[in-house]
Amino acid sequence: MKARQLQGWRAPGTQGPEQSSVAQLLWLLLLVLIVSTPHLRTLPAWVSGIMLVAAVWRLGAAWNRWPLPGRIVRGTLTLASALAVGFTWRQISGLEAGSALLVLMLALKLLETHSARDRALVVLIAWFVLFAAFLREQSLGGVPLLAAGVLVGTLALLQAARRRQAIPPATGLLLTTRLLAHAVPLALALFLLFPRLPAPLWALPSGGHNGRTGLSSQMSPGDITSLALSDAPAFRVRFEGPPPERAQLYWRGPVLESFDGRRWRTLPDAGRKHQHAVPLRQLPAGARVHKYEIVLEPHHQRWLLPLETPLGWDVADASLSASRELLSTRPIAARSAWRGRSATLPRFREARAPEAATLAVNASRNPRSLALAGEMRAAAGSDRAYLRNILGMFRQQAFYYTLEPPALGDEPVDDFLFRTRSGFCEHYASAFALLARAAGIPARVVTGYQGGEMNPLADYLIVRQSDAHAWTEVWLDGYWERYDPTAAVAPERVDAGMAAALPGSVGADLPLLGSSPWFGRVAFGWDALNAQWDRWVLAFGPEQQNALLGRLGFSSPSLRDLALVCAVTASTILLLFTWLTLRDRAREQDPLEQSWQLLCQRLSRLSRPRKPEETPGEYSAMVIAARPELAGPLTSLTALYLRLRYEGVPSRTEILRFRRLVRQLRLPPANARG
Amino acid sequence: MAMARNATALANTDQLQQARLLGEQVNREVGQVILGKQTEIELAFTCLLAGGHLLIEDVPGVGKTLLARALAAVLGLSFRRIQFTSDMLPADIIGMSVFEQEAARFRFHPGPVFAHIVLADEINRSTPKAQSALLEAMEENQVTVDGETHALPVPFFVIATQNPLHQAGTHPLPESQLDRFLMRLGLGYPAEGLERKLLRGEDRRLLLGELKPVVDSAGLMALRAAARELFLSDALLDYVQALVRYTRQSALFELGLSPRGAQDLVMAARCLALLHGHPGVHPDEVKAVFAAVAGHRLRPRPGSQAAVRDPARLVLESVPIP
Repeated sequence: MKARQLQGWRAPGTQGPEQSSVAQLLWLLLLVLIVSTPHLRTLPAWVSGIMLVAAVWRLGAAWNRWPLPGRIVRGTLTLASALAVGFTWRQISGLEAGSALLVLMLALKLLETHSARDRALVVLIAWFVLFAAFLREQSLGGVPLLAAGVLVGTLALLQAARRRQAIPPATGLLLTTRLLAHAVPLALALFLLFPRLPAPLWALPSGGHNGRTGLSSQMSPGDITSLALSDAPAFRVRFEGPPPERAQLYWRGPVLESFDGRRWRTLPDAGRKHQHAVPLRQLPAGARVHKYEIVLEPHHQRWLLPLETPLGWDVADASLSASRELLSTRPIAARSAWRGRSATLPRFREARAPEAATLAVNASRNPRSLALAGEMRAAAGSDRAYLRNILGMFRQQAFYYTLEPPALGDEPVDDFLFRTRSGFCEHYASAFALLARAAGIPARVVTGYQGGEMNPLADYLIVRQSDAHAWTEVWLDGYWERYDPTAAVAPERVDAGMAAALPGSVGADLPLLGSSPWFGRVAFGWDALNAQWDRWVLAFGPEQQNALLGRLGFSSPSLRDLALVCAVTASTILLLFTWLTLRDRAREQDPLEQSWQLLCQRLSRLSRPRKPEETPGEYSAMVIAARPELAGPLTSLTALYLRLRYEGVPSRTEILRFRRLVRQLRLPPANARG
Repeated sequence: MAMARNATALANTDQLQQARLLGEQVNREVGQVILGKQTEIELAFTCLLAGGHLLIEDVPGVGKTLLARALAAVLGLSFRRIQFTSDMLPADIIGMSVFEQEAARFRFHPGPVFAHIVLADEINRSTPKAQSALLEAMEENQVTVDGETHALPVPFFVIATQNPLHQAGTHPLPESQLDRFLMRLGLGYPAEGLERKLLRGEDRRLLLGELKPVVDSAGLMALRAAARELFLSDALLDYVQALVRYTRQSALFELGLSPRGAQDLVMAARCLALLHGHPGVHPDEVKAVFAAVAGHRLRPRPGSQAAVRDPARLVLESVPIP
């Protein structure tokens, strides 16, 4: 059956020049369309234009016999495309330029598809383009297109090698599916067992990802007049046990300690007295400890964003900076997962005295704020009362929470406190920290994320870019205490999330959160699926591999062990398939038939091969006519074969006897003519 | 099942031997009268044995009548000849009821069709009405006149002849009628040397009287029953089905073999295998009868290769033996 379906299939390159049929071309074009779609979305329009021209030209040539370009035109086109790519990106490598070049060459190759070899080459380039799409998109959403590309590519390869008419689409799809299904066990084994290296062998060129997310090592609230809300996920968290209350979900990111009156910056560890902090050892009574797993979206920064306050983590090379930022040694360039332990504490003990920078105030800036701080501190009597009074001021006076604050001038805090009085978390955190410092209390701004949303369909929390937040920490009595001034102005922001904190019209801008509940459910379901994909497919790294092998009985295998296990499994699967195929073939041909074929094969050397339509009697008569000396044994052998095959059900001994007779038959040498 | 059949087949080795001898005898006897037509004689006898009817398409004077008479003579069967003409009525073939004065009742006078072997000469010269009277008799093995059914003798074997050339005033048999003939044969001119022998020798018709019957009708029916018992291997049925499938699916033909055609093919092959003394049917026997059984049932697509060349041969050359 299999052999029959593959009849007419020929290895590429084994035949002379011939024209591609329209059906073969249409399959190739469909493949090209599928594989270039992920690239064309981001590449400039002229690339798509060239592809369209090439496709139309090739189709016209097939249908209306338009002339295809000659060697010189093709060469010129190729050179021009390469130059155009070079001019556009100033390079011909890298993700954008490289994929543009690849897609263009694929389109131009369409113009020279004459032989089966050309068609096969188009399919192979197309597959390469398809894999290049992995560099852009690894999410579940890209999988259908990828699967379609693999399916159509395999089918197009089958079609490409056909000599005459094309395989009908339904038959072709069935055959392709069967071929691919054969590949699944091997692919699965290689996915699970191929040695995973802890670090990628090459780094993805990061084209402009930096600073796109909500995290940054600096902040200057006065420059932002409109904060775009994005519901893109920043990370997902799965808690072991019940999750903390929403108001306690502070995900600690960059800590900004240096302030020049306008801009807040992180203070690098280099140049500090103490370069690392140690996790808390003693917890106050009643502190709750949470264990969780975080799956981070790549943000190309080093912050691991633990729940405040981190106690432990399973990332080997991560460290706690002096300002208690949990940092990995490398930027998070791929989706990655880590496990951690945290205590949700409003304050934590810090044995070391704060850096001098946490007290620094640029005296030449924001004079009215500094003056206000002096007055209020004097009136309050104690540091704590003073800080409470500031929060009270935010709460009682006409301060507003908005995502579209007016621009602030050269004295941003003065402008905010006395003129505009509206802003978002950064404005409040910035003003609060400055007021604290002006009164001699060490203070810093902590940025990160606050809150998150439980996915009702699955047991995890999604934290989105729109949950980005800034709050303050002040140093009192040997403790860093968290003060969130935004909560004073808009408590809903902390208790219920961004959408709740904003007036209705603005809340609706949040693409998914503000829309209908049904749509929200679908979105959550999709996100849950995506999370599974991330967790089980994309995040499958050395740790998960080790865990899997550990469950199979290989504890902490070396790279060599892994390679061995992988090779043995893959070979076993291949051998199994080979055996199954051979067994099928043997079953298709019974031993009687095999012996007869052997006889025909031996006789063919003496005269000519048996024509398929020749009956045994006709063939042996022909051979006897050519070599009369064989008349005796051949007549009896043919009669025996006919009797066994056509005159009843032969017994096994009879078949074996026939086989023995065929093997024992002495034939004269081919050249000795009797 | 297959084993059981095999056992019966093997048990009848004597019968097979007899059948082979009979086949050789018929070939030899009839071959004395009709020179150089061994294949056609064997096929005609096979057709008779299979219980089918034979259509011979050839020009006049090549020995069609002689073949029919010779077969009748060696088989010890009665023989009648009907010369078809354009003014022929059905009653001229099947007979009619005549009022008998003395007995004062109608009495059926059987027509020429009441014989074991009937030669319907130049069947295409008569009107379709007369043709269909004969064809009905062939199909039913009985005739009905005035509400009374009269069985035809057993075995009943019609050899119809028709001139292949289109002549004025003829009515060629349509495909649906052609399908009722198990085989169609052409006799063709004798080979040069044989024709010389024919010219030199005595009149072949005189030899007819010297032919002795070699089997009676009861023996013929026993052979027919034995043919039905022959072993059919799966490989052979695969081959037959491949042939039939090819005629139906190939672009060469507008009309492929009908299921009746396929059954006839197997039955004819069985009978030929029996005459060869084989306990099972070989593909050679299928090939030998294929052109005669299928040739007149296939309708080549106009303009295709099959319209020019012998279509049955084309099929045989295209279908591999499994």
